Amino acid sequence: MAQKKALLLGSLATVLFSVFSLLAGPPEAAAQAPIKVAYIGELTGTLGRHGTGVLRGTQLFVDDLNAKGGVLGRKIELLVKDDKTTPAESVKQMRDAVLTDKVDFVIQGVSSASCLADSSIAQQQKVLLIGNCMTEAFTVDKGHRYVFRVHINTMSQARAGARFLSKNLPDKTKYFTLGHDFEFGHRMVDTFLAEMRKLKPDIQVVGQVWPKLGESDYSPYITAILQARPEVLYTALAEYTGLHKQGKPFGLHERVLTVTSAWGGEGDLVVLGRDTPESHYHGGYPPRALEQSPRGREFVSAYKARFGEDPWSANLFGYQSALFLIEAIKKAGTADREKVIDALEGLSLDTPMGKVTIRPFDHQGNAGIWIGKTRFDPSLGYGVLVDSQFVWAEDLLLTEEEVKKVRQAAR
Amino acid sequence: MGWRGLILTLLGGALLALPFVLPLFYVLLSMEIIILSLFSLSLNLLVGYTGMVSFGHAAYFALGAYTVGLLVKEVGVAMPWAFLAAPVVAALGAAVFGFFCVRRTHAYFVMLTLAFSQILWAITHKWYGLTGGDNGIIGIWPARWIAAPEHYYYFVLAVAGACTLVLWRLVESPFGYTLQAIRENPQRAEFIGVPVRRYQFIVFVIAGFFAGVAGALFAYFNGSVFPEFAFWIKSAEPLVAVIIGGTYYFWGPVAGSVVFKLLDTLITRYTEHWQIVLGALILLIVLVFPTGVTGFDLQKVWWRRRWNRSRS
Amino acid sequence: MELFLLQFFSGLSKAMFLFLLAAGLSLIFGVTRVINLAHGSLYMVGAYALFSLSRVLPSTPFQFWIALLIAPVVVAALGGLIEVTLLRRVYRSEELYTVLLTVGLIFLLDGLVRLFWGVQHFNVPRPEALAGSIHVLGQAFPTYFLLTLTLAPAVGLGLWALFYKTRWGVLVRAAATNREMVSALGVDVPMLYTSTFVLGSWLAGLGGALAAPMVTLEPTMDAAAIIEALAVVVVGGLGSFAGSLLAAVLVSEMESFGILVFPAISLAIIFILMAIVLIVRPWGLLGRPER
Repeated sequence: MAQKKALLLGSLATVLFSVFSLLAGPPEAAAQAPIKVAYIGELTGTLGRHGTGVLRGTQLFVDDLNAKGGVLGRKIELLVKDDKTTPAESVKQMRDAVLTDKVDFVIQGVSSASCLADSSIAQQQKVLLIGNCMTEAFTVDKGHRYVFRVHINTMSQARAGARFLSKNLPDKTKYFTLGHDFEFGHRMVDTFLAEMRKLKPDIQVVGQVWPKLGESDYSPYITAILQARPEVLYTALAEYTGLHKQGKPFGLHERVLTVTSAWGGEGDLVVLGRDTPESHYHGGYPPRALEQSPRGREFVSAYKARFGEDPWSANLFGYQSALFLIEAIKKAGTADREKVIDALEGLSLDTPMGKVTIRPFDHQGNAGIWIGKTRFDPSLGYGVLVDSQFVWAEDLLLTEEEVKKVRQAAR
Repeated sequence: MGWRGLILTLLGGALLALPFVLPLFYVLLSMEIIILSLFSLSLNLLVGYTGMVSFGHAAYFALGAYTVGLLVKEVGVAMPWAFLAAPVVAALGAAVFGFFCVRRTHAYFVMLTLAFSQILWAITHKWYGLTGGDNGIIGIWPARWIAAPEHYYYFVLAVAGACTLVLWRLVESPFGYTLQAIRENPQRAEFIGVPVRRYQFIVFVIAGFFAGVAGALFAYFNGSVFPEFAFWIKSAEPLVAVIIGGTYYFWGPVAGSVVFKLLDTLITRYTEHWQIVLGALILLIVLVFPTGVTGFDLQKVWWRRRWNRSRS
Repeated sequence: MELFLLQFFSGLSKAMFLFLLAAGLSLIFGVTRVINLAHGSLYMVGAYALFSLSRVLPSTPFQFWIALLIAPVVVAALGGLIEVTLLRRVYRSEELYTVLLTVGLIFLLDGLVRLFWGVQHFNVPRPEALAGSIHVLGQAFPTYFLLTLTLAPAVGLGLWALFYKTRWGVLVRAAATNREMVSALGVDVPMLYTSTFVLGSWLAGLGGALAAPMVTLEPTMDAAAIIEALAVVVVGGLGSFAGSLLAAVLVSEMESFGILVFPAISLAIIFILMAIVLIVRPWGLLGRPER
């Protein structure tokens, strides 16, 4: 009896294995083969919205490029891998992408933990990884030749916030911070406060709270904040809709000025709809601001045409990561990894958000961010950012010496 | 020996030859399967043999993995020592948690194992200074001579094989039979003089020990450890594997691990709607094989064989 | 003192949702012995159902109330479908297979939600009548709190009446204690099980529908919900509604104050409480010790 069942199971396993092998397919051949790029990001899980957003931006660029014939006469084959917002799964997908699918280039999603984990594989396997996570550790402490980031990191965002607040709201001194309890939240708040204390030594931090990622009920946090009577609430969250929606009937928006200098604000305002607070500050890449440049207009209309809605930060990140990769390949004249890396260092491009350069010593792009005022737009039915000021990251990032110092200490 | 011996030899041979025959991807996948098998076998000591359903077994896996991570990264300990320390720490954790857990039965036991595992998860997530929080610990590489995946494969195979042998001897011993007696009827076991709680505690610690080995193997395999190794979803993996494979058969967990890992990897690779497909397949398995793919009323078979043996 | 009361009040709202979830979970376990891990997913479906109804139904002042009425029924129907087609087949098997089944259900339901509604986050607007604020001790609170604070206990009372004052309730309680006897007495036990699961699902759906105008709708909202509901059931005592209510309040308040008093362990508070109860008094605060 037992043997028969073992046999049944054995056959089941063999069948599965064979099916699997067949599906895995024969290895790729020859010259005009497409250039393989993997996208490894959060398509399910807590950051599913963000990872999907980055993917859409990348897809928009790649499909557009392929329609025009690709780069160097070769099309881009984009392999999409879901890492389920789980770093261990991200490592697995990275390994698969590199060892089985034999990709040369990887564009990653937004999770800092996943990016850092995959970064060590990228280094080991000498594969180019362009990450869209925020932690500055990705390019500073743990940076190396094979990782790049086109976009802002926690340091530049947090500092941008500090500069903005100390300049525009010099009379406000009582601060409360609200950050999600993960790498991004902690880094943003800590960096913000460190910078703020330098620029405005008289600031008072009347409280700090750290809701867990995926928190659904902000009520106790809101009452705690209100009772401390701060003037400004600095926030660093993965998504802001919960806070604002729940905060509104508590009178949060009337009593405290909420500020965030992190990306994604404009996307959350769309979700908030009528619950958009008035005249609070949010960071992001508002479509109306992007449209002020021809390249930006092109991007917004292309995205709208394909996906039927305005783009938000995540889409822009994915689009620009792909843009830099492809331009580097063009510049190098080859898809050889090492040459592309060399081409990418110092590459300066005209992007939808302006001119961005990749600094050669830490592979960090000097992209900036807009910080604007929130406003509900009745004609659209949702919130937008107005009076947005652009903050360049160049002077917000660490200098070359500072980067060297941090890396020495990390060793 | 006959049948069984032949199959085992063939399987053993296939496993040994695998890195030469199949591409790297399968070597990596096989390592994942072997590690999950060991993890599941350790869980089955509790679930299948003693009738204790633990939903917090990931805690000991995580303890093993984090021991390796911390020793390698913080202290710079070489592989053999970190590897030996891991299951010891896991066993200690199992002793501490197990002390409380074995005093409860059924649903209470399940919930308490879950609670402890979640507490461990919360600690690893929050204690940023020690564990690196949600970033985990990365850069954990095996010793140079087995760092290449093909070589590490043999290491994993050897360690898992040795552990499996130990587990086999354990369950086919008086200790193992006593566990099964406890599973069948704890009161009767108590009446015939078995110190039920002590046995439960001991098997809990042993199960934790081997889960720690699996965790250590995985830490080196993955190159990194994360707090999610202690999360309840990680505990569900071996449980699902054990149930799919069948709890009454020693090799059940192995079979279940093969099926589950293959499905999981296959499905995630080929569709972004993996949740629907995986969920539907699990439901199908439950409906078609209500006692596991190796199970099929094996309980009756087991009893019949014991009866026959006792009469001869 | 004021600080304490305000923080207490703000934690109550969550307690009500947890109570609804825990009551359903406790009920299902008490009668069918199934730990329905997919309960959080049912809650999520309830929330999304309300969202879709709010988009589809004509825009009248009663829209929200109609949707609130319909959404839990949808989830109840889904629960009934699950029970009849899937759960029934595994009752005979060991408890373990029900665990596997509910795990499979979680994946399936999560995937379906993501398929139909996508990964975007949604905001369900509060109904006009409840969109404003009320003032308690000088602090503004959402008027919507009034709904949750009255509806949940009302449902609790209704459940109590159902179980202690109706024939169905008597039969269900009897089946929970001794199913063989009840079956031997000629009662249709399968139907009892189905109706229990349907009621439990209805409660989960109501929790979700009620929560929808408060929280952000996202496809992972079930994960936290199920863990917290399990903890509440454990702390309150399996099979006790009053226990679920008390435990829900206790858990929510511990979290509400925990963020101020013990921020370092706020993530673990709920599990520490769960462990303490299981070690010291496993049948929960108001449960009955199993013989």
